[in-house]
Amino acid sequence: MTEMVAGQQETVETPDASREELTLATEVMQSMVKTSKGFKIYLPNNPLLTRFVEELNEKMGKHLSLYGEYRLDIDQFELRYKGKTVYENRDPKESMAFKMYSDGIRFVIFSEGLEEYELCGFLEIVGKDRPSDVDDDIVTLLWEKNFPHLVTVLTDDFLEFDADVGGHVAPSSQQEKITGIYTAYSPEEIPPSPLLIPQKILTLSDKETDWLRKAREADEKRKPLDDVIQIITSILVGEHDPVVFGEFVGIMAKLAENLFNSGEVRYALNITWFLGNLARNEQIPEANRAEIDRALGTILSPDTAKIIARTIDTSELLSPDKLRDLLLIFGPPAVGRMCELLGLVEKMKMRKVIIQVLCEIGCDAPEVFIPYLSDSRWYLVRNIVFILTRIGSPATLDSLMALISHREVRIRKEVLGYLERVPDPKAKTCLLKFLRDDSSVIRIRALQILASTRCTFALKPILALTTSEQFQERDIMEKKAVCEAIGELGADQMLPLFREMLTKKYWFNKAKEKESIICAVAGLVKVRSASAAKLLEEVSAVKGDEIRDIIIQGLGAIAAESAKGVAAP
Amino acid sequence: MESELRTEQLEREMIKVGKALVTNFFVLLKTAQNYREGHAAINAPLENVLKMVKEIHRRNEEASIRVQRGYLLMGEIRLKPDAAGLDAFNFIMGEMKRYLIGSINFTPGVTAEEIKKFAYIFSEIEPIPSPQTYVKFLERMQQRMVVHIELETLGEDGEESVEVDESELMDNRKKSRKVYYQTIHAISEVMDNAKMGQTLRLRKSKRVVQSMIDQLLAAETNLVGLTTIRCHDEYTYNHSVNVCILSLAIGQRIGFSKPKLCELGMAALFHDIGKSEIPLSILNKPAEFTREEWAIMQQHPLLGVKKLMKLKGLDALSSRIIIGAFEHHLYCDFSGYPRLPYKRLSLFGRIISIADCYDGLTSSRVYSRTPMQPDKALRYMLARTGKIYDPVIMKLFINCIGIYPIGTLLLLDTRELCVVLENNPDPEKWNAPRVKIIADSQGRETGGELADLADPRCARTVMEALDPNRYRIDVSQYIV
Ligand SMILES: [Fe+2]
Ligand SMILES: [Fe+2]
Repeated sequence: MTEMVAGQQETVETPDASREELTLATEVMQSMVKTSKGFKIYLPNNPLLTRFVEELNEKMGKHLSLYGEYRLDIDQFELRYKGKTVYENRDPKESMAFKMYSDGIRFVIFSEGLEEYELCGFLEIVGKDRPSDVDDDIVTLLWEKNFPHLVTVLTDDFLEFDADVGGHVAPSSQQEKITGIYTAYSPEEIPPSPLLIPQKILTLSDKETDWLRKAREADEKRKPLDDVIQIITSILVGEHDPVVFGEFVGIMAKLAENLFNSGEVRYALNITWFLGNLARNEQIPEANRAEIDRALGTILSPDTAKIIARTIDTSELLSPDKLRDLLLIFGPPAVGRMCELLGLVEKMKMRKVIIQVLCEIGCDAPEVFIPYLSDSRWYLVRNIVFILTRIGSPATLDSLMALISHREVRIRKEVLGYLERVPDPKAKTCLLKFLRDDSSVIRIRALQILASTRCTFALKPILALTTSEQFQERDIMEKKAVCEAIGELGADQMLPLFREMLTKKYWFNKAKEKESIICAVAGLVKVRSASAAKLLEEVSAVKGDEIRDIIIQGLGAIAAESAKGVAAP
Repeated sequence: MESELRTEQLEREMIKVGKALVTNFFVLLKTAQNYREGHAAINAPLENVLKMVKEIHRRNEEASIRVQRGYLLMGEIRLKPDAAGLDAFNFIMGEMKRYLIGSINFTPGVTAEEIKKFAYIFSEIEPIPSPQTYVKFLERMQQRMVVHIELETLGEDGEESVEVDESELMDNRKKSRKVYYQTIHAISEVMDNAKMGQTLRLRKSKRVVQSMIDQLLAAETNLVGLTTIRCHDEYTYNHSVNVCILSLAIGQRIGFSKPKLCELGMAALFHDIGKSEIPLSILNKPAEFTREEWAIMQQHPLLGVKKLMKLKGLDALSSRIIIGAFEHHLYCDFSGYPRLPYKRLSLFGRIISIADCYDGLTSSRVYSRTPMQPDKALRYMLARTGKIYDPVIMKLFINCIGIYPIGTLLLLDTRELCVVLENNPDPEKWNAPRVKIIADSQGRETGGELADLADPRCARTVMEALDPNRYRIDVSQYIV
């Protein structure tokens, strides 16, 4: 608790009141602070709060009946009663003194006859925590309440005007000017007959009274914000001057942004859709529409992205279709912010929508995505790589290459996909790096890509892999993938290698032998030539049943492949 | 024993003198009701009152009449009325209660002239049941330079009298002027900031509008009278404050709550904020506008919206201000400007539009040829009611200001000059307001005699309303 109510400690100033008076004043303040806190903690009907209020009312009543008024001098962080500090709190968010002081109040005076509702009303206004960006306004709230026994004195009240501006109350002679009238005025001028207003013009008829009542009700019901939006809407629809139009488009976009930020999401969305529709309206001049597009791109800011993400995750305000529409309205200028949004949204379905849109509208400037590749959120990076893969632009290759050794395997896998897709030959060379990746899944995938894209330059490095010591430790899937790549890339040249694998004897390790044969068969299937088939047939004759089945399956695969090959052209 | 007797006798004598004072004062008031100031009939009762007052002072007693618990007292002595004096007692007691006067003290040095003026104040002020009646009474005494008669107000229960700080009254009069200047100051500051493209701060303006509303509701002063003050070279500042005052007066007639009035006052005060964007060379052009210049002038509602949209946070207040700035030239039939597909007119828009037009027509501004006289302006506006001005709001507006609004400079058929102080409560007599005569038929400045033109004994009628600005007369000094 940072709040300090004066207790035993003495103040430096010499108070100009009796000890009893000051003690009572301090007690009143203590009671006020307690009650004010009570308002924040308890429900209005809480018995404890009721007791606080009663106590305060009693103390204040006693004070007022004894001393006539309870007047507090307000300093920045302190409240003083007749020179004695009775309250001090230096936390601007909490301090009653600070709140009143910063609003321009310098004194507050409670006077005899003060009623409980006034005290409570005062505490509720002054005690309430208010966000600091709200422009005042304790003064207005108190002013509106019009408490009869509570007076506030403001700094402005001390503002006096010079006598020569506002002071000359005493009439001064204007004889000269009056004489001017008498010389200038000619009695020949015929004055108009005096205006006589019939009674019916002065009193409202029942119909008129009724109209006025309805007009008041209608005004009361309408949100002023609706009218403001309507006003700007009408300006945008009716104004043709490009400069004015441009200014108001900017104003409208800013309004939408502010409304997002103040939580008026529905309004903000409506404005955005309105602008979006306007941008698609062919009757609007081309230049003005471009202006709208530019402005629309500014609505999505880091702050609004947060709000929209929260809206997506916690409400049904935006369906996937609506979200898609919204993002398309924000358009290419907002791609960067949409990445931000993508990083914030949790709902999978909606993330997909965002990714989809980014794939569609991000292709013209894929470099916008680059900064997000170094984001700390792996899932975002992964999505961005995915998007860049879909866009498939070589322009982002260098940035993506930096991710080859990213610690998150899912990102590396995504990068692999990009490298596969991007037509740049440099990308393929990069694939080689993945052959030494920590993850076997990635290594296998890299092998498959190198094989399927027929990167013959990879043959040598792949062959080199097989001789490494680690290679023997790899599981069969990977070994198979290596052999397949070798078969694919090396073709008939690799037959001696496979023959050796098929025929090598592992005397004490039947499993190893089987593995070697499986791998060789896989490789030969990829070679898929007549020589490969011949080799397999040859070997199958000398092998046992189990091995023979594997080989026969391989032969079947080759036959199917070549049938496909015949059928294809 | 002997001294006791003497005291008793003294007291009896004092009661006698006191009763005589009350009776004579009663006769004086009655005469004042029936004869206009300056009539010879008033002289005898006046002399009698003064004689009694002097007699009391000679005895070193206080010449005061006091109401307490249903009795009249002189000093501390209770005056028991006899059958003959009963009427006088009841009348004086009734009059004092009506004006919430607790006591009247004729202090040494009081002159016949002062007593006479004092007596006429009773017929000059409408004794409406409001604490303001007493304040008005005191103010009138000050206006009429009645300094040797002191009043105390009747206590809240109508019995006890309470001391009233005289300086507070002076304060009341000053306060109304002060709030006008403060408002001018606030709006000029905002407009100047707007000109320089700085962020607009509404807080100060809100405060002054709030004090204006307080004064309006307390009826401490007739705010409409304040619109006669001209204190700033820049027309727009005076105009803005005047439109604010006139709009508030209408809003009060409608019965708007305090927060609503605050919004209305602010919207009215800022209705022309867009003009801060218009070059001064056009704004202050001493001649008629060209077509192009008109087109630029007509941009000010949109310029205003643009400026106001830059305010931090769009709350109800700033929204209302924006709506006011946008709507005030649209007109009821939307024949005004800006011409846009916007077909709505809020009550605020309707109110401000009327207040704006009225002040625009009646003020002398640089680009206006001749400012219209209030009655002509009303005639002009009435002719356009329904098309341009809202008929209902227009009615309320006329109710606020009358035909000759406060501050109107009138030439009477006696060739006297006067300034309107107050409208007759009876609308049928609005062409005969209560006025302050400021010059006699020869054009000689007078002491500011009050006259009720509706009173047949007054025998003066309005010839014509004159333009005080044309002759550079400051009418405000007679009113506020
Ligand atoms: Fe205007
Ligand atoms: Fe205006």
